[in-house]
Amino acid sequence: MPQKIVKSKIIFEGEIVETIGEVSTEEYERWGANENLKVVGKPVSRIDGYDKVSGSAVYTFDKILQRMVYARTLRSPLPHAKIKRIDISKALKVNGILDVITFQNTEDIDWYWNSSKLFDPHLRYQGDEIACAAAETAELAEQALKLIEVDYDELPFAVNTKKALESDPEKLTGFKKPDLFTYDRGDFSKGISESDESVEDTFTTPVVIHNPTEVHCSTVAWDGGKLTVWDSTQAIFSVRNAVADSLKININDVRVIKKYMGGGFGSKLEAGKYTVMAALLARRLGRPVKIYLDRREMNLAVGNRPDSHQTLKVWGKRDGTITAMSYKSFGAVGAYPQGAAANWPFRTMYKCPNIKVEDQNVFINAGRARAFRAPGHVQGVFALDSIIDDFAYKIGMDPIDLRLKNYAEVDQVFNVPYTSKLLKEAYSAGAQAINWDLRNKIPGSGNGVIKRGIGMASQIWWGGGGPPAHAMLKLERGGYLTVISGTQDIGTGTYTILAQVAAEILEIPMEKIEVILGDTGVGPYAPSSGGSQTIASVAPAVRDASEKMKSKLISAAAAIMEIPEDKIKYNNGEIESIEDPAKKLSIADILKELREESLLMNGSREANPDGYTTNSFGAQFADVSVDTETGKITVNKIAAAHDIGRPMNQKTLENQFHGGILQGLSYALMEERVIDESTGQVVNLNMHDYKIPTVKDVPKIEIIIVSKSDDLVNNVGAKGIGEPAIIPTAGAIANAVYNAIGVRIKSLPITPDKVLNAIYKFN
Amino acid sequence: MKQPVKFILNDKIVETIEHPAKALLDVIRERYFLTGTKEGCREGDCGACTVLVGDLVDDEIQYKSVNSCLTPIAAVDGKHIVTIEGFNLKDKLTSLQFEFVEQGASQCGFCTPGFIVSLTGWLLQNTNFTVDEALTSIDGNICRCTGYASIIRVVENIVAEIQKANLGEDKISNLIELGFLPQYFTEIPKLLKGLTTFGSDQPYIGGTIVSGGTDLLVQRWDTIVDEEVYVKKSNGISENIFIEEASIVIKGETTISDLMKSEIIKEHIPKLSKWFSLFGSEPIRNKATITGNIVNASPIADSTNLLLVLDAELKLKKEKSTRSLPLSEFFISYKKVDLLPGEHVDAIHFEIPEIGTFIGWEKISKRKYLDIASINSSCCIKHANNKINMIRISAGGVAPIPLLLKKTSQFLEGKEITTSITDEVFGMIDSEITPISDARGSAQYKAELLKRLVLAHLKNCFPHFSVEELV
Ligand SMILES: Cc1cc2nc3c(=O)[nH]c(=O)nc-3n(C[C@H](O)[C@H](O)[C@H](O)COP(=O)(O)OP(=O)(O)OC[C@H]3O[C@@H](n4cnc5c(N)ncnc54)[C@H](O)[C@@H]3O)c2cc1C
Ligand code: FES
Ligand code: FES
Repeated sequence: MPQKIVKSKIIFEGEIVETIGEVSTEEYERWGANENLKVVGKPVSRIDGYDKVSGSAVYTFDKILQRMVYARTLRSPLPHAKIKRIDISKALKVNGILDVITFQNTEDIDWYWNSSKLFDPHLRYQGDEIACAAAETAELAEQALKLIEVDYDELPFAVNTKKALESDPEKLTGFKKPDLFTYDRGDFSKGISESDESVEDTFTTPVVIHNPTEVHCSTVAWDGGKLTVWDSTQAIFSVRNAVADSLKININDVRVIKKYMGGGFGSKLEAGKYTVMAALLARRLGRPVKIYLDRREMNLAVGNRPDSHQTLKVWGKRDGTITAMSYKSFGAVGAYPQGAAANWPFRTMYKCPNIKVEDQNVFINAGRARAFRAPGHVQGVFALDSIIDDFAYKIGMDPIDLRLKNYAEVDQVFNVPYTSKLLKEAYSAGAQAINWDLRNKIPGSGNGVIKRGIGMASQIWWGGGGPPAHAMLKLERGGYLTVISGTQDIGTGTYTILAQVAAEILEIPMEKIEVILGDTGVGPYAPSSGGSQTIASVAPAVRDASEKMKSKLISAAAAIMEIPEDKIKYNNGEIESIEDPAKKLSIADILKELREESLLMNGSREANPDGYTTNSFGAQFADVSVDTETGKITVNKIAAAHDIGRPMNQKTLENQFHGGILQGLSYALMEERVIDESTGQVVNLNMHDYKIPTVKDVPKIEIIIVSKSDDLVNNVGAKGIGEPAIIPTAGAIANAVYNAIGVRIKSLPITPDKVLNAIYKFN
Repeated sequence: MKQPVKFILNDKIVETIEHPAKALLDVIRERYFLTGTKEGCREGDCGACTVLVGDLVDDEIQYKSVNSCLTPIAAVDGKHIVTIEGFNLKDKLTSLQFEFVEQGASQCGFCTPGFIVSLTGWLLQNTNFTVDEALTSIDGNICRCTGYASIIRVVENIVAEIQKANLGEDKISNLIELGFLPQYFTEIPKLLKGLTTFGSDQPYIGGTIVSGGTDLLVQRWDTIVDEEVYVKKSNGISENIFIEEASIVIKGETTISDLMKSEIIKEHIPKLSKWFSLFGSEPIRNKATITGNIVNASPIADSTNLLLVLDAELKLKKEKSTRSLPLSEFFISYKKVDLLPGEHVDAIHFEIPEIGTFIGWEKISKRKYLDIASINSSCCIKHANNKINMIRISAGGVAPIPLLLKKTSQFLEGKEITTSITDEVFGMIDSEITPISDARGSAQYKAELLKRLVLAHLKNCFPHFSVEELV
C-alpha cells in the first residue's frame, strides 16, 4: 500500500513540531520548470473571483440565520484588577436583552493552556473578557454591557516591557517568570579572540496589530446536540477541538465552517474565547448567536506582534569573516503565556561558528501576543541586518560582499544541508534591480535637503510544509471534479492553486473543478493556514490523489474497453488505447459506463526528506529619500528577490509579495501600538489612530523569483510565500535610511519624529 | 423618534421606518440583506462600507461615494443608493469587476466591493479621467492583503479604456454601453423625480444636529439612535457658496467636496482644492461639512485652521434671531464652543482676499492621505516690498483649541523679512503653544514641526528667504 504512518518533523511558526501521521510513499516524477506545465505556474485567475467582485461571497460576518441574536463582550477597562462584585440584574431587566454570562453563571472552562479560564475574575489586561451579553440587536447587546455593574480591586500593573522585566512577574499577572531561552554554539571566547573588530547595538521594535479587514466573528447554531460554527478562522480544526473540549461534547458533534474570510495574518490561528461564549449563549437561549469584535477589541484582544529589545554584538576579522556573535533580547508576550522570541534568523542566517543567545519572554499587562506573519523573523531580521550593515561599514566592506563572505551553506542549528538555497542568486538579482552601485559609499554623504539612500536585508523562513495533510477527490457524472480538503483559504488563493494541481494532472479544464475547503464536517485533515505551509503541504496531497485517480481511470477504461491496463494511456484528459488511438474514452464516458455516480480517491502529503531542512530565502533592497527638514521618509522602490521553490500561480504570488512588502513597509515607518504607561490604556485603538497604508503609500515594487522548483521538498516543488514577503522589508528600509542620512535609527517605526531627533539631536 | 424614509435602493424603490440617525450600513445589511456592503471599522476609516448616493442637481443626476457606516438614513431620503449588488449585470461581470478578477486584485476580497463602488462612482462623477484622480477616489479604501499593486493595474487599464472611449455627454448610456453599469441606471432620474418623500425640509427647532455625521456617528453610533436629532440636508453647490457684499458666504451644510469644486473658491483661493485633497478621504469629503468641522472643535480641524486666518465670522441662528461671532472667539476650551442650546451655524463668511494676498495651508500627518493632522498651520499675509503689513498664522494640534498665533503675528507685523528674525519668531511660537505628547507625536516634535511650517509659510510668501541655512 503506498501509504504509511511515519514520524516526521515540521517547523511551524518557528516551533519544531514532531508529528506522526499518514503519508504517501508514492514517488512522482518531478515537473521541472513551469514552462513544461500547462496550468500550474500560470497566471490563472482565482476561481472565487466572481463571488468576491459581485458582493455575493458570504463571509462569516455576513452570516444571518433565522431567529439569530447578537452577542457582545464586556472587557476589562483596567490593565490589572480582580472582580470584587459583578451584578448583571439591571442589564437583564431591559426588554430585548436576553442573557448575560459571567464567571458566576458558567462552568469553569480552561483557557490559555490552563493558565486561566474563559471568564477569569482575575483580569490581567485592558481587554480581558468579563461578561458576554446576548440581545435581539447589536445595539441592545451593547447597551446591556453598559448596564453591567462591576466593582474592581485594582492591582499594580506594568505595560512597559523593560519595567515589567525589572518587577516581580507574579505581582503583575500571577504567573512565574518564563524560563530564559539560551542557545550556544562553538567556542565563543575563541571566536572573540580571533576577531579584529566588533560592533554592538541595541534595537527595539514596537508592538503591532494584525488588523485584518474582517473582524473576528462567529455565528453558531445548535441543532439538537449538534453544533455548527461559522467562524472567521485560519484553523478550523483548532476551533473544533477547542469548542468541543470547552463544551465537553463529542468532536463529531461540532462542525466548523469557514468559507470566505477577510484576512487573518496569524490573528485567527487560534480558537477565540468569543466562539465558545457564543456557543454557550446559543445553548442557553436555544437560538443561533452571532458574535463579533469591533475594531477596538481587534486592537486589544486578538493578538499582536510582540515588541523586542535586542542587543547584538558581532566580532569579525578585517577581511569580513565573522568569528563570533552574541544576542540578548527580551520581548513582551502580553498577559498570558506565549512566545516573543526573535532569535531564529540570528542563529541561521549568516555563517558563524561561535554564537551565544539569550532570549527572555516577559509578561506585561497588555493584550497577549500571537503569531503575526513571520513571527520573530520580522523583528529579528531588522536587528540582525542592521548590525551586519554596521559591521560592513566599520571594516569598509560592501554590505553584500560581507553577507557573501559569511554565506551559510548548511543549516547551522541542525547541521544538515538545505533542500535548496538560492540566496546568492537573490542578492545579485536584487542588487541589479535596485542599482546597488548608486548607494552612498559613505552613509549620509549625499547633498541637499532631500537625501537618498539604498539598503538591503536578507530573508530566511521555513515554509516547506509537511504531513499530515490530506485531500479527497470526487469525480462525478459528466467529468466534474471536486477537490475536498480540511485546510482553508484565507484569501491567499488556496482554492485556485489546488484546482490548478488537479487540472494539471488529470487534464480536466479548470471550469469543471470545484474546491471545497474549510469544513471540518467534510474535509479530511489538512493544516491550518499559517506558517506559509498550506500549499507546500496540501498541493502535494492533491497531486497524490490526482495521480492515483488517474490510475483508477485507466483501470476503469481497461475494464470497459476490455484492453489490458498496460496497453492504455492517459492523454489530454482522455483514456485511449495505445495500439488503436481511435479507441478512447473521455472521463465523462467512463463515469457514464460505470454504474457509480462518483469515483473517490484520497491523497496525502509525502514525508519530508530525511537529512535536510527546508527554508525559503530572499533579499529585499530599498531605495529611500529622507527629507531632512520634516523628517519625512519616502520609499522610492523596493526590489524583492526570493527563492520560494516553484511559483504555483503568478497572480496570487504577486499579491502575496506586494501585500507582505507593504505590511513590512508600514511596520518600518508607521505602525505601533501606543499605551499610556500611567493608566495602562491603549491610546490608538482604532483605524483612525492606528494607521495602515492606503493606495497612496505604495512605492514602486519589483518582484523577482530566482527559483524554479525545489525538487527535494515535495512532489510539486513549492515552498511557502506568505511570510517570506514581509521578513526583510523593515531591515532593508532601515539600512537605506542609514545609508541616506548617516545616522542609524535603532527603533521602529522610523517616524519623522525620530529622524529629526537623530539628525538634530533636540532631545 | 422613528421616521419613514423612502429611497431607491439599486433598482427598486424602498420604504422603511427608522430612527433618522440609524446608519445606512445597518439598514442595507440587516433590513435588505445586501451583505456585499461590508463593515470593517464603523469609523469611516476603511471604506469597506462604501456606497454611492445619487441625487438630482439641476435635473441632472450626480453620484458621490459615501461611507454608509457614517451616513444617517434620513440623509438618503429621496435619493438613489447603489450598493455593490446594484452594479451586477445579468450574465457577466461589469468591465471593472472583470478587470479585478483578471488582475487578481481581490485577495481575501473583503475590501473588494468598496473599491469597486468607489471606482464606479468616480467614473460616474468625473469628466477628467486620469490615473491619479482615480487613485484619489480610492484613498479611503483600505486593503490589508494585496499591497494595492494589482488594484493600481486595474485602475490604469480602466483609465486607458475610458480615455479611449471618450464618454461625452450621455455618460450613463456610454458607461452602460461599455459594460460598467447595468441598464436600469437610465431610468433612475425619472424615478427620482417622481419620488414623493416623507421628510420635507423642516426648519431646525432643536435636538442634536447631524450634518455629515462623520464625527457624530463615529463618536456615538450606538446611543445616537436614542436621541432627538435633526438631520441636515445638503443643496447643490451654487446655492451653498456665494458672494455677498465683498464677502464669500458658505452655508452651514457645505461639504468639503463642495468647497473644493466651487468656482468662487477656485477663483479666490485657487490652492484650496489641492490642500483639501489631504482632508480625510473622498467619501469623507463628500459628507464632512465645514460647520461640523468647526462645531466639533477638534484642535486639528483642517478647515477651521484655514478659516481662522481668513478672519471668518459665523452667522449663528436660533429660531428667528441671529448673531455674528468671529470664529476666533467661538472656541472656549477643549471641545467647548460658544453655541447656545437650540442655536445652529447658519453660515460662515469672510472677506474676499485682496489680490496679492498670500494664503498658505500646511498639514503634517503620520500617513499622507486619509489622516488627520499631527499638526497643521495656515497663514494669511498682506505684504509689499518684503515687508509684512498684516499677518495671521493659525496652528492646530499644539493647544486644546484651534489657535491663532496672535503674538507671533503681532511681532511679525510691520517687519522686513530677514533670516535674523527667526530665533525671535521661534521664541514667540514657543511662548504661545502648549502641545502635548500623544499617538501623533511628541510635544517637542510638534513644536519643532510647527516652527518649520511657519518658516515654510514665510518661505513660500517670500521665496528669497532661505530656510536651509537655518538648520
Ligand atoms: C475617516 C475620517 C477622516 C477624517 N479626516 C479629517 C481630516 O483630515 N481633517 C479634519 O479636519 N477632519 C477630519 N475628519 C473629521 C470630520 O470629518 C470633520 O470634523 C467634519 O467636517 C465634520 O462634519 P460633519 O458634517 O460630518 O459633522 P457631524 O458629525 O454631522 O457633526 C459634528 C458636530 O457638529 C455639530 N453640527 C453640525 N452641523 C451643525 C450646524 N449647522 N450648527 C451647529 N452644530 C452643527 C453636530 O451636532 C456635531 O456636534 C475625519 C473624520 C473621519 C471619520
Ligand atoms: S465600515 Fe469602515 S468606513 Fe465604514
Ligand atoms: S483583499 Fe483582503 S483586504 Fe483587500
